[in-house]
Amino acid sequence: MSTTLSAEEDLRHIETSLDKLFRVAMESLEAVENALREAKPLDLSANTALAEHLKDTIYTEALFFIAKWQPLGHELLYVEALIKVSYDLFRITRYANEIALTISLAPGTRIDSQVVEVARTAREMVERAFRALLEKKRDIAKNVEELDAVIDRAYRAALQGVASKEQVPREEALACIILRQLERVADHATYIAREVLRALAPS
Amino acid sequence: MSASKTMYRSDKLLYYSLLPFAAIVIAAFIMLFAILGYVSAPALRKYGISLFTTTKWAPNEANPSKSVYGLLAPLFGTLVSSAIAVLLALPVTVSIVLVIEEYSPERLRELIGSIIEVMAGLPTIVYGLWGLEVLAPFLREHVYSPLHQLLGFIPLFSCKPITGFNLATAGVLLSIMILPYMVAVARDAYRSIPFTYKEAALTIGATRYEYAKIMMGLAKPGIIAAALLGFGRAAGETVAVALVVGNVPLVSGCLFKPAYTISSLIANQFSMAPLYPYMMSVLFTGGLVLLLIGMAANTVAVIMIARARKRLG
Amino acid sequence: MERDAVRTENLNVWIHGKHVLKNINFRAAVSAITVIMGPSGSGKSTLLRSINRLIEIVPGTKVEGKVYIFGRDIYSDDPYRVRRYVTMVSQTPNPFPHMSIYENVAIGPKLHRLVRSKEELDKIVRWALEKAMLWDEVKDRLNDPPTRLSGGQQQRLCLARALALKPRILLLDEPTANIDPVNARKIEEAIKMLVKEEGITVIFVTHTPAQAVRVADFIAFIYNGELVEYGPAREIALNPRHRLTEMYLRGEIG
Ligand SMILES: Nc1ncnc2c1ncn2[C@@H]1O[C@H](COP(=O)(O)OP(=O)(O)OP(=O)(O)O)[C@@H](O)[C@H]1O
Ligand SMILES: [Mg+2]
Repeated sequence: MSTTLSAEEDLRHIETSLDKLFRVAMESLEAVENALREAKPLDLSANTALAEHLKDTIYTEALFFIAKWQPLGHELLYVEALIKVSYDLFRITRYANEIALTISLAPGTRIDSQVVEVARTAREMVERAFRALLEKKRDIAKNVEELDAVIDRAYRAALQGVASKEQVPREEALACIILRQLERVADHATYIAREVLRALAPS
Repeated sequence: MSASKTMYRSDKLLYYSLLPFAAIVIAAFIMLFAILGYVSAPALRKYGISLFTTTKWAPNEANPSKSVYGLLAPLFGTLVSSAIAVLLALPVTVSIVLVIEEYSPERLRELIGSIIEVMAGLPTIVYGLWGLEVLAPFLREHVYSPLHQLLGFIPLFSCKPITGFNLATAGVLLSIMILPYMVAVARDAYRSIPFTYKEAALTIGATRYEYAKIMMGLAKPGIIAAALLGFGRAAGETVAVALVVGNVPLVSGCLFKPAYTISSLIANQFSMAPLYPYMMSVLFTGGLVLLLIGMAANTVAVIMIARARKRLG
Repeated sequence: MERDAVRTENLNVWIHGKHVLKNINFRAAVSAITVIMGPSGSGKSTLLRSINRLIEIVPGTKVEGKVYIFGRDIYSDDPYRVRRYVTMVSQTPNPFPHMSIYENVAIGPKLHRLVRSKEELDKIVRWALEKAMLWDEVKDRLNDPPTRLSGGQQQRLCLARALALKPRILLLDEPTANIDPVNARKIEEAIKMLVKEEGITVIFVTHTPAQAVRVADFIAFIYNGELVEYGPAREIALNPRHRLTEMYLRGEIG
């Protein structure tokens, strides 16, 4: 155990854990993109377990931080944000895992390249939202919310396509399900962005 | 006094009813000064400063106006014997305080405490007789003679100790007599050192000796006060000193010569004083000087004690 | 070498017949801050004083059991030697009023002849005052008496006085008890820095759970002379196993 000197130092510790979790999420999303592009099966269960563990660690660390330093004002909001963001990143990893499961159920099925495009956008959203958090930049966060609309539209369109048909080809059905999961990923990216806007002290 | 504004009625009553008693003390003190001053005035007017620069004490029966009265020798004797007394008593005081307060078990502490109380309570004539019969011969035999033989080249010991009745013996006897008072004052000062400083000294790894040094540093104003009070007492001591000091008006650098002190002078000459004009007045001047010496020592001591209190919180 | 800087084994202390510490098995890890937490009268100061044998100057005490410091049983050692590398800062600021600020810090190194020259002494005094985060405030008045300092500054001066001995173990008895929050944080920070940079082992007594959690690497909770629970600060703060600890943290007993 090493003695920490200040609240800032303890916060950096939590942020480091969170950054690890972020990288697990990003790696999972990238793997999903590749699998979609190449129609290959994928297993992300290890990533999911790691993400869950990291999330739990961050919860404990953040709780202890609150007990230890009794933060107030924006510092308190920021710690809350770290907790919420760790949950979002964990969920994002879980959705990536579900997409991987979906793909693996029908190996070799070609998925529309537009879905790959949406997956890339979702990943970018996560990346931007997280950057906004660590770099404490509100404008980056705002940008994320705008992108969310794009993904929503893509998902709605796919859903409508499926709903309007008597019979749906397998690719289309799978694409719709995957889009739905990507839409959830984007949602969590948006939550992160909103946390940033809420927790950062107006400069 | 701002407190009087908020005083209750009954408090006020008490305050005013006690006022006369305080006034009596102050009045008595002022009167003491006034009378001493009044009676001394003729001598001061006649002899002026020469009263304090002359050693000779020569009352002239035939021609009273040719009488010579000098207080220099008794003043010198008083100051030197008192100084010797304090110098001798001080290290003993410090050691006794340390032994009582730090290094003795409960029993021994109580024993030493009561011995000192008994010492303080003894009539001074007892010290005087003991000094006369025991101390003076003993010192001459076992201390002064060897000192003179071995260290005779030092002016202090350069004269032959013909008798044991001299300045040195007066100093030694006085040191024994003032010891109980000095111990009492110094012990109080030592005890008023808050426990937390004792702890502080020990927590930085001070050994017993170093610890004692630090404690003495803390108690220093109180110990200086003890020395001053001791000096005041020694200067005023009469009977015992008169028995051992030799009663010869001499100013000498050698401690083994007989001497005089103001108080022994007063005691010895008082009965004859009415026979000579001015002698009474001169003796009262001596008394006034004693009073001033005593007051100065006490005032400084009180200031030292107050300072110590303030410092230790 | 042991991992524990301090370890007690079935330590029992009686003061005037009162059983004040009961079978305490306490330890403090090297180069970490171990907090002794507990309500008033629970025996925190007594435990602390058993570790530098200061308990012996309190009349009427009886000590049983062992205290090991770096594996050595201190009760079969010279108490004055022990107190050189196990120094203590008391609950109330107690700089020596008859010495200057400088002398207060210099006295330890001087006593133990840790220095050979005035320059070396100056250096140690400055180092200690810097580590106690007091240097900037007193560097221009080192010859003033300490009574001119504020309570918080005096407490930091006491810390500096202890540090000037370059102790390996530092005992702190509620060092921020009578001090405003800003000064208190300064002292806490100074202490953490010492652990980190100098590898000193710190045992820190406090009765406030918030401070315990804030400064501790490990927390020992004592109640009624008994060591109720001991563990990493995080464990004690988030997952105390004993009901008494839980209640104390919540402020329900004390
Ligand atoms: N000199 C003494 N004489 C008698 N009893 C004592 C003495 N010192 C301590 N005690 C007793 O020992 C017990 C523990 O005291 P201690 O000073 O160790 O408590 P503490 O936990 O440090 O309390 P606090 O937070 O008030 O400083 C108390 O119940 C107290 O009554
Ligand atoms: Mg205490």
